[in-house]
Amino acid sequence: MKKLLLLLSFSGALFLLGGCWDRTEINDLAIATSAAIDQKENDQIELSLEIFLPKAFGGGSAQGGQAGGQGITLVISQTGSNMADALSKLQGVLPREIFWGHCKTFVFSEAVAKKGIIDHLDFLLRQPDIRERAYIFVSEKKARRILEQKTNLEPYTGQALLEQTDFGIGMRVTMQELDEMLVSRMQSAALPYLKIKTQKKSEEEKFRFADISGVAVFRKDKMIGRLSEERTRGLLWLRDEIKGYTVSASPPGVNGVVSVNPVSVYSKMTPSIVDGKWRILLTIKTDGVIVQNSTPLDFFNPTSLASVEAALQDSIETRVRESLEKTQHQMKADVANFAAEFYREYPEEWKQVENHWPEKLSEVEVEVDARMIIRSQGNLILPANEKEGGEQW
Amino acid sequence: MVNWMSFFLTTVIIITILFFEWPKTKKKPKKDKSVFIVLLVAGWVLSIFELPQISDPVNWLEVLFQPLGRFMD
Amino acid sequence: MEKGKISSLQMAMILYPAVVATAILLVPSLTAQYAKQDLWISPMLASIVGFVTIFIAVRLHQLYPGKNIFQIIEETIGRLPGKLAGLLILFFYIEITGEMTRGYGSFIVNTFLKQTPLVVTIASMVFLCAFAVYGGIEVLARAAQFFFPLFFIPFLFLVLLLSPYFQVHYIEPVLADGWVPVIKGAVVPSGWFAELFLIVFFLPYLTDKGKAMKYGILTVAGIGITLVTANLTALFVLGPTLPTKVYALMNASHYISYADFFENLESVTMAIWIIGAFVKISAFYYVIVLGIAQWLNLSDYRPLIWPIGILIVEFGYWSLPSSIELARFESRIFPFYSLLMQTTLLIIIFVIASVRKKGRKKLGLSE
Repeated sequence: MKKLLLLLSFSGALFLLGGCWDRTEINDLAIATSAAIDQKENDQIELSLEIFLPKAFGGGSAQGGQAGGQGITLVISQTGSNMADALSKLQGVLPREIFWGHCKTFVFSEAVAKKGIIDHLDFLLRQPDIRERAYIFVSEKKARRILEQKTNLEPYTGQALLEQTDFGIGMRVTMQELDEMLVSRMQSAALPYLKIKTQKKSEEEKFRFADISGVAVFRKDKMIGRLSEERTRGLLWLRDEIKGYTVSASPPGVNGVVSVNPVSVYSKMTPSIVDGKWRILLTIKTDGVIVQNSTPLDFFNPTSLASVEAALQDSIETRVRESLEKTQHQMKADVANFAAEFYREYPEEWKQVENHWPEKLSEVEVEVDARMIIRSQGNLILPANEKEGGEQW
Repeated sequence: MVNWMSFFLTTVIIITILFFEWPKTKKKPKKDKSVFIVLLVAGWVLSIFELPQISDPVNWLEVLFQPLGRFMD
Repeated sequence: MEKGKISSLQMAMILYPAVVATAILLVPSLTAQYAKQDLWISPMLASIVGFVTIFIAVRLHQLYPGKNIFQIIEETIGRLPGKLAGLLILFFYIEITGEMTRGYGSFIVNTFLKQTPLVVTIASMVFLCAFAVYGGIEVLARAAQFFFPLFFIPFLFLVLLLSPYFQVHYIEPVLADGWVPVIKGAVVPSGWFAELFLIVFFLPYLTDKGKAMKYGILTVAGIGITLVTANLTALFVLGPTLPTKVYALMNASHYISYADFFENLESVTMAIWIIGAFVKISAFYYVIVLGIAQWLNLSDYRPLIWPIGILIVEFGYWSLPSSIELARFESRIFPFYSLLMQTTLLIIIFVIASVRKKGRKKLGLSE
């Protein structure tokens, strides 16, 4: 009898262990994979969600991703006075509960970005189930259109953007980083900027895709301009996110270019205040691998290696300088976060300029010291187009 | 200001406690029994009120801690 | 009344989670609000409170061996004032245990079980703890001993997994705004350190009383190191956004991601919190019922467990309409309240007691 009672009470516990109120079955969830925020008239915003269609995916690999023009995701949107309002309306039209755990890309349209994103960010950071690791983008035109783009290799746009970003194309900014940028002393931020580009698939068919091109620059939480892709690279050197790119340079007095793939980048900012002059010394050390050489140079020769390295260093310096020129002097945005460096070393002096930092920023002198060390030259010892001195077989 | 739901639930819980505990408590000294009853009654009486909305003894202490709290602002 | 005996090590294993459990989640951002990047110094300062509390508690127990805290208080300041002081202590413990269970419940409901009624999370925890308390001090100690690695190892694991995301430069500049913000930041954790007052209730039941001081000091050091680690982890991962978060370590654990699939580890944080909260609430719950029984010279504390359980749940709600109010209580009232009722009271009693003992020795009287 006693045993039976014990058994009953134990099995009774089973009902409680499931957590009755918060049980969520996978078939009760609408899994959001990316979100887009657009500006509408009268201060309204439009929230679009890319929802994963489980049926389309359940069809198996035989269908081959995007087969039949039917995507595996669906984009729906609703207009509201703010994020919360729009989301509640979205939830109202969906039969399933929106699940945020897999939403890893958020796209703001340029119009939203120009009005300020901090209010939207407040919503996103407040929700316990929205990932701080999600990547944030700004899109040139309507953000919803980014989500609607068809993709080739990846099953849907959100995933494509994610993979592209992880691979190292363009700047990589997570929600947590954006939050840090906005609350920290730099009072500026930079987010990757998306454009829709067109490429010919065949004679008639055109293929349109979302492409990361440059960054949108923010002062406080408002977008004030953007950097071209070229200029962005300078910024990427400072953030050590350059690995998806190659640097090319031609050494003086030689025809052709040498292209190098940066393998590891180490960058450091050293602030100094001498006689009231604020200076920053940027040290960028790069280890690279030669990926192409169209010059006749033979790298067994130390002097030619040194001259290539010097040329590459110049090229990096110019890149960094150009991007700083634009952000620091024209936009007065501290995207490289000099503020933190000065605060760290000179907290007392920092307090005096704190209130007019954007003005002070343009007075900061920047010195760039780039070092490039070539670690390997790939599988070729001599250049393929060897012209001088080589023996013909 | 009366929360009938919590009052009802607490009453059910108190009856359950009495059902299981009273046979054991009955054998204890009188003092034990009276403390047991007093605490149960205290819990029962408190359950009538809308507790989150009314101030508790610590809020009176707040006056005492106010100068210290200001130090923290 | 309590016939069980525990070892000093077991006592340390009860005390450590009893302080750390709620502290690792709430202290980083509460401290950062004042001390900013110097938040790691604050727990070190606050641990002084812990050392003082442990030292005095053990010395007081040596002065009055075999007596419980209420008997000691009554002997030093007289019967009636002693009873009153006892009442205040017990009331304080019921109050903060209520606050604690509410904090536990709010965390679960705010971050995980959003549909679940708050009272269910609170009541189920109190219900569970009641059984642990029913088992007495030995069961409590064994539960704490069993849960200690389950609490400690996942915490280390979490810090290790987060370490690749550390941005160590956030720690600089050190002491840029001087000591005042650091001291303000230390006030909050010192409220937690004062909770080591619990040791006075365990001291009479130790098998190896000689080691009590050693393990007590080790506990304080352990808590101090854990809090510094938790604060630094939160700072290194969250940087300047740390003061804006409610549960900083929770946000930090969101950040773990390895190989695109080993992620969403906030459940580890939740597990740490629940295990810690269980030991913590049980320890306080036990101290309340044992304390009431000692205070009134009852023959047993067990009949008090269920009535006190109801009171704990009710105190978790009393004058706390929202978790915002709870957070305000935690940073503005709790530290001072906790220091006053525990460490300050202990110091006063100790001073009076040692003066009296000395006086008696001079007069050549024995007890």
